[in-house]
Amino acid sequence: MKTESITTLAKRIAPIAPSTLISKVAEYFLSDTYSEILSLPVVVDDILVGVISRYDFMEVYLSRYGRDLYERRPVSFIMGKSPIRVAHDLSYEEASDMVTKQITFPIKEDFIITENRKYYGIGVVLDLLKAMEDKLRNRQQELDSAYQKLKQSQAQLVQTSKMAALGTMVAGVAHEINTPLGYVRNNLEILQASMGQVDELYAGSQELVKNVLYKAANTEQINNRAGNLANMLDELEEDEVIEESHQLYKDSLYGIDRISEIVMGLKNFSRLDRAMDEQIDIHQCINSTLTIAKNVVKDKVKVEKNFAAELSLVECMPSRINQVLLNIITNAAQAIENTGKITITTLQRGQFVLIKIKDNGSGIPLQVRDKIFDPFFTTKKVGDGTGLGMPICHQIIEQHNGEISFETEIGSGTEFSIKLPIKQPKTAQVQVLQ
Amino acid sequence: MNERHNILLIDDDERILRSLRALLRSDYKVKVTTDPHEAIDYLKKNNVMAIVSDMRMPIMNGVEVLQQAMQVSPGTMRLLLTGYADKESVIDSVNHGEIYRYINKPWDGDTLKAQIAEAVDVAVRTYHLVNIAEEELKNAKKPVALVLNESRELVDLLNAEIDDKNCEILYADNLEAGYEILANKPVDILLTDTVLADMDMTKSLKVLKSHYPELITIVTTSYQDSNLLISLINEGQVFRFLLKPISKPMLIRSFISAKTRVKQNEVNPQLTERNKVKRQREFGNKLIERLTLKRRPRAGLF
Repeated sequence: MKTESITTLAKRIAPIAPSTLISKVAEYFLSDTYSEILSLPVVVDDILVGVISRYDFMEVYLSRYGRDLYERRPVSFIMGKSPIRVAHDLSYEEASDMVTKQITFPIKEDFIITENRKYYGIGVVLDLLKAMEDKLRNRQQELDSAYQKLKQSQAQLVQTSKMAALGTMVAGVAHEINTPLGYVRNNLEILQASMGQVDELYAGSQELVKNVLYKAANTEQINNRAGNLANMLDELEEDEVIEESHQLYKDSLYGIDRISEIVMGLKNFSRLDRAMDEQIDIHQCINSTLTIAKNVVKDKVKVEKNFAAELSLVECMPSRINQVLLNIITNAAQAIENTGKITITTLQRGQFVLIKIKDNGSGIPLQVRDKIFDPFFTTKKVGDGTGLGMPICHQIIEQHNGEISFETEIGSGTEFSIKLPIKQPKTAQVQVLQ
Repeated sequence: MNERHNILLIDDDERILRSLRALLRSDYKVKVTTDPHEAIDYLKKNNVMAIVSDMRMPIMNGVEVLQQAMQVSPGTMRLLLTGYADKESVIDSVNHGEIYRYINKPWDGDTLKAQIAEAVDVAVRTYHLVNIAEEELKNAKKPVALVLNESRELVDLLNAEIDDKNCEILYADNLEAGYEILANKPVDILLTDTVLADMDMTKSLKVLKSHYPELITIVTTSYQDSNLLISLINEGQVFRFLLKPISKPMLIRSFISAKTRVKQNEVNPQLTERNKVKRQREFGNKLIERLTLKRRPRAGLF
């Protein structure tokens, strides 16, 4: 907003000379021209020399014999010599500062706006206050709308980071499903082809059995048929078709199970829960997340689970907790340069459940540690990280009335600890998180 | 039955290996392993016509395996078989692995068989040709490069770094001018973008490569879609991908490699088969008609 100078509030009222008679001043004060103002400026050659306020004037004029005593005297006799001066180029704020420092209450006078000591106009204190108030109101509106915009863009960023998490997930799931899908499909094609050989064998055997049982062929024919069958059997044997088929069936079933496991994990992972009133098994959360995170983790990282034998169910939003776990596990895997280990430990601590995720990766550099939970802080390449993963984790855990913290050492790794209360306070249960 | 050739499959999932072996063992001597070191060792000790590698594996990823394979056994054709194609791995597989085909899991049995058959076929004819002594390259003629781009920036970059005694660099800022040069000059290296004046160039690149396998293409791109890049590998055999913003050292390195490749192909024209792709129909004919009127493939193969 541009700063407005105080001159916009100036009333360009004609000043009076010091020689003006007090009786004349009385007339001025009563006239319409001066009805809005409290003070009359007094100037000599445009230079402001004094001021006569209505209040001071009354004091003199209304005193006993005041009128008779002073009527014929010049105004310089009773005028104030130190008017409240405000330079013309000051802003409202500066003028306001100046005026409030000098003004006495109740307000008995106006302030005089001067330009290089020359009289410029009269400023009414109330006008200034009003202008200041308007300004504040505008500023408030600006702040409100800035706040709204900020809220919107934050919502957008949260969405972006959700999409980024989703992208990681989709990549992982695609790879995890496509691998078993690849061999299951291929195996079925091969088994179908082998079935052709088996069909031939089946037909040949049927024929032979008929020949033998119903004596529909002579010995030579039977011998020929049997010989053919024997050749076919040899071929099957040599190609290890049967043995191979058993293995392919076994692998295919394993692959199908693997796919359903992944789909189950996906379902558990992305449960559309909005309320906190569910009794959730944190171990299941960790397992689903590990299924999803497999593609990030599997290349080089061994995951060790160190689960508590008994762990209370937790009142929480599992999809949110999964999001936090995925984020931390992904970061942990990325912190591991070559091969390494992630240890996930769960512990019961009274009314709380503790989850510890420890990696033996590179650790978090000293200068970065304080910024881990800062929005938009990222050490990843542009486009790879939104810089919102950890802040959102922090927010989620906070919304669960839990705590998230970490310990780290360069070269030996990082351990994140999440502490979640088993029960949420009643008010938290109705809270719907966006 | 013909001689059964060696092929090598590497994946960290042994079920994939069992399945692939079952598919291919009647046609080839199939070696499978989950261990990349064993794979590299096998390549050193045997004449392997094709290697098919998974991308995501512990110890070494697919690009690393193929990169090493290229060093220890340059004659072996390289294929990647992967469950998920992220942009980086696609680009790396070209730039570091110079792969012949990029195949997605789940695959189609017949298609995969055909792709491997093609690769093995090419390898059988070119396996020993890839080793060309440095000496032989000296006599090869000066390669001609065409930079087809809206901006001259890349030409200036190349001119600053590449000795023009070794290479002639031409420039066109639009498709028409580019085709004109392609038709009239024996262009060996084409440096262009996937998009030129808002027009998708991928189809043109594929058509050009399918008719002129000796044309080496370096393609700059800001495409994020890995499927598109994969199609440029499988149908366009792009020599190098340069992701924008372009790194200058990458550009120079790619260009120098391209020059070497041009010379190798000139010494042994049959080597261009190693980058052949299927003919593109429809649109392709019109473009090629225009070019073939004047252009004579220097390799004299087609």
